[in-house]
Amino acid sequence: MTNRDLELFGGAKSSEPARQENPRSPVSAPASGLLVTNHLNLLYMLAAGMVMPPSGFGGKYYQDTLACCPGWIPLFLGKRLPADAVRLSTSEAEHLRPVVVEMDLTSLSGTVVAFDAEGARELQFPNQLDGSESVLLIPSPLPTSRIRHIAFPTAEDKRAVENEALDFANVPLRDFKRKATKSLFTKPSEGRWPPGQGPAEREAPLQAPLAAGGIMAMLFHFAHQGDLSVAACRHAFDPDDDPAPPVNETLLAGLRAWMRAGCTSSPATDTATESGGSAGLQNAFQDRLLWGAVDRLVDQKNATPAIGAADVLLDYLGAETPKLDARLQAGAGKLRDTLVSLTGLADATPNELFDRHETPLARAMVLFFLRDRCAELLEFRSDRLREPDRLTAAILFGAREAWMGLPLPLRAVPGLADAASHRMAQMAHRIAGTDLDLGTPPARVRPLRDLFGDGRTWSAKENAAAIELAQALKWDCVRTRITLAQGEYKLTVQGGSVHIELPGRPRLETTVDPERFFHCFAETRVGTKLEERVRKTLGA
Amino acid sequence: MAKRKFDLPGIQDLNKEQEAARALPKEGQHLIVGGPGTGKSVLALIRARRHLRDGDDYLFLVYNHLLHRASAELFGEGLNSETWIAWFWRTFQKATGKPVPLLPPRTNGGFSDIDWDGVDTVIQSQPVPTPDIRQPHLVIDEGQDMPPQFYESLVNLGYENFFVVADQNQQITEENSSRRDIEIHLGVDTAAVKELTRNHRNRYPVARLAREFYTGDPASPPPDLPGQGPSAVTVPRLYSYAPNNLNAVARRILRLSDRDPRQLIGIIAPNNQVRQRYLEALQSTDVSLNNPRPTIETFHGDRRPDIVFGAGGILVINAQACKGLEFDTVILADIDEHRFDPRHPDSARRLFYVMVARAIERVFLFMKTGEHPIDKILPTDSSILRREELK
Repeated sequence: MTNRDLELFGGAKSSEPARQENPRSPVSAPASGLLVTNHLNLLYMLAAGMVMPPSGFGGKYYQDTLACCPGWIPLFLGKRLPADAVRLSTSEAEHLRPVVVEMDLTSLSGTVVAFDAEGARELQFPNQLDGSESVLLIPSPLPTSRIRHIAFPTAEDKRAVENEALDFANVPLRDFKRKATKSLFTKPSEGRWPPGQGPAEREAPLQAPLAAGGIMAMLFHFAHQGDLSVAACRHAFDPDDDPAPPVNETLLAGLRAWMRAGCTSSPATDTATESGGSAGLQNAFQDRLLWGAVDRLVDQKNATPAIGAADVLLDYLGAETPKLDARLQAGAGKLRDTLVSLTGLADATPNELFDRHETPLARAMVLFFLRDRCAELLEFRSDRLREPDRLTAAILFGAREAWMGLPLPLRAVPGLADAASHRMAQMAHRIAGTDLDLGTPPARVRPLRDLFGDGRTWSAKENAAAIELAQALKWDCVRTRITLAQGEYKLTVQGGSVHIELPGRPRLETTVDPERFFHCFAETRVGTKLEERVRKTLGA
Repeated sequence: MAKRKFDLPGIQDLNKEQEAARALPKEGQHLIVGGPGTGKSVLALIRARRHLRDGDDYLFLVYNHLLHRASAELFGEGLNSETWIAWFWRTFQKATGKPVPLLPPRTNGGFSDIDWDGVDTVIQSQPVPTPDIRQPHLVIDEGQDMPPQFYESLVNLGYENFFVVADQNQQITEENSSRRDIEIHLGVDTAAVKELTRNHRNRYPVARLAREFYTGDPASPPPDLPGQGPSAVTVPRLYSYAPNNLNAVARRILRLSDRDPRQLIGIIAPNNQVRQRYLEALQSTDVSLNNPRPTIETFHGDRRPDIVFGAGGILVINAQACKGLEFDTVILADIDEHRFDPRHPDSARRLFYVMVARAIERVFLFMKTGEHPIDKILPTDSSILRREELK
């Protein structure tokens, strides 16, 4: 590489001078690029939902091409790859297998760095490509929803990696297209690796996006509870969709703000100056304290040494309580005492704890100390808990476990992982302030509860789906009306059966009591297979 | 009944050294060593799961009946598991047509140990390779507890594929194997042994307390503490209580179980009297709960109930039976009744090391009020063990 003047990003030369020095004709944008890595890094990134820099691997990164320019994803634009790139990617341990990941580049745009025979230059993708580029460096991260194919050297490698993925709870390899493409590994290009001096290392904020992914998934799974839950799920995925929340609910306003920014913008204790009376103060305090706690849970993931989530929450409460309005201090202090007691042998049942603490935030924090995992929260039952309590807990649990920690059953809804993955990567770029546009996000998956609307005007399909669901789960909400023609009815008893003989043909109408239906729905998590069947009936 | 099962780890949960062990080929002889909580048993179960998935002939061998039950139930359906002694007994007879040679009983009418010299003599007289016996892939958990001659015999019987996980610092039998023994008999090169050094099972406060009792060979240090740092609040507690107030202890334990019925609570007693006392108190104490009263089981001597490790509940056992088991919460009952010889404090420390390391999440210790000799080995630092009085 020539020793070119590398400016922006601390390295690569900006595109305009390059154009002036060596103007070339624009060419059609490549539809995809190839990432060279190893199978363990690949499995890790599939679990995270993002193709990300070495810093995202939590100490489990194995050398590969991502180390070339940390914070940038190197994508090869040809069909042939430098032998050194493949070699490097399996150099760290004997058990590593080389993998090539084909990333979709369509509808992607923004500032990238490209390598060509003359070195690195910054350009606007795709408009400033001139066809000379061999490698693109895209700012990290990219969503795994952009993976087109995963290629292995042999069918045996493919099988072995597929088998290894089954050793883990959270690696969705089977959701991606896989093939053995020997030529990618055996017919190298002439190119060198690394290709030369690239741009300076850049930070890619990943913890907030991963927490956001966890929150999205948890609010999706809790969206069966009611209108508030459906709205929360919608705002988690698409915070800009509906500028006015449907109800005056501070939880949703906070959720929208956090899902846009990946952090809170104001300190929790601003509530001391809130107006709106005691209830308003309480709500505003709850909301800001909740999102402040989410911020701390996100920050804690980067802390060294790591701090336990319980400690994070208690520290936060302890620090914030003295700053609160006097009216709120006693409640916050009482909550902290309860949480501390739960780290020992507290003399209380869950319901007694919920009776002592009635606000959604307090109950969510109690739940946070009673259970560790998102899957456990989804199974938790108590008649004391209300919809806002569970939603608040879902947010805290989602932030703690994050997308990375979610086992496959919590990601298994078709379309959920793609929708979350894109939005996580999008959030990372928003926080980092890059101009990379990932294109239109995949539509969010509407929760089943959402597909039934409010029940006032169900179509025939919706009615049929409601009956199917209610019958499968034995909900007592299905009613059948039999309309008989006028005339004589004859009752006969034959063996163990009773027969009624009617003139003409009776009309049967089966309906569902929507109120009862939604009440039962709020209390039940629908299994994956049943949900698939009902979605099919709904045509969704 | 609340379900409890072995969950596969997330990819972020295994570190590079564990990955290297996980990647070992199915064929050949492999030894993985590490202290308590380093994930040895998880790797052994992952290995068994892979054999099961691939339809391989394999066998998961454990030291005793309790571990057999625990592994089988945590694994879920399909684990092909046995205690090493029962399997060896049958396999030897099938391979040689002769019963396992035994030494004379140590006491009149007592248990007879295997005569390993006799075993060797019989095997040497067999044709090689031994015909007509299955040669499954052997996955061996807590491999340090089996005698060295066991490995020698298997190799001489023609077994070739071993995946052994072991911890030299947790030996509990007199006839156990050192790391070197296993290396020699399986023909594993010392450099090829995979060492697991970081504690992943225990939460930091549990691991930190366990470390206080570590007495092992300096050449074999305890596992590194978990990556998570110290906790200001989730510190193990030592509760002292008035001897006539055991019901208050039982009440707290029952409510602890009620708050998360999926957790398995292990109450480890110093002797049969304490075990029985806690069992009775837990069974008889009247307390209001949100969930059905938890299953409360015990295990001792000849009594081998169907302990359900795959569900939550409370298991009351003696200290000698706790080895290799894993509980969400461990409660050390009436530690003041452990034998303590001030001239040899390390034997008590070793026992406490093993008992505490059984806990994944939390440890609570109970002691009757007053001064007790065992206090000498307990840490005084309240950031490691916090003392409270239970009223």
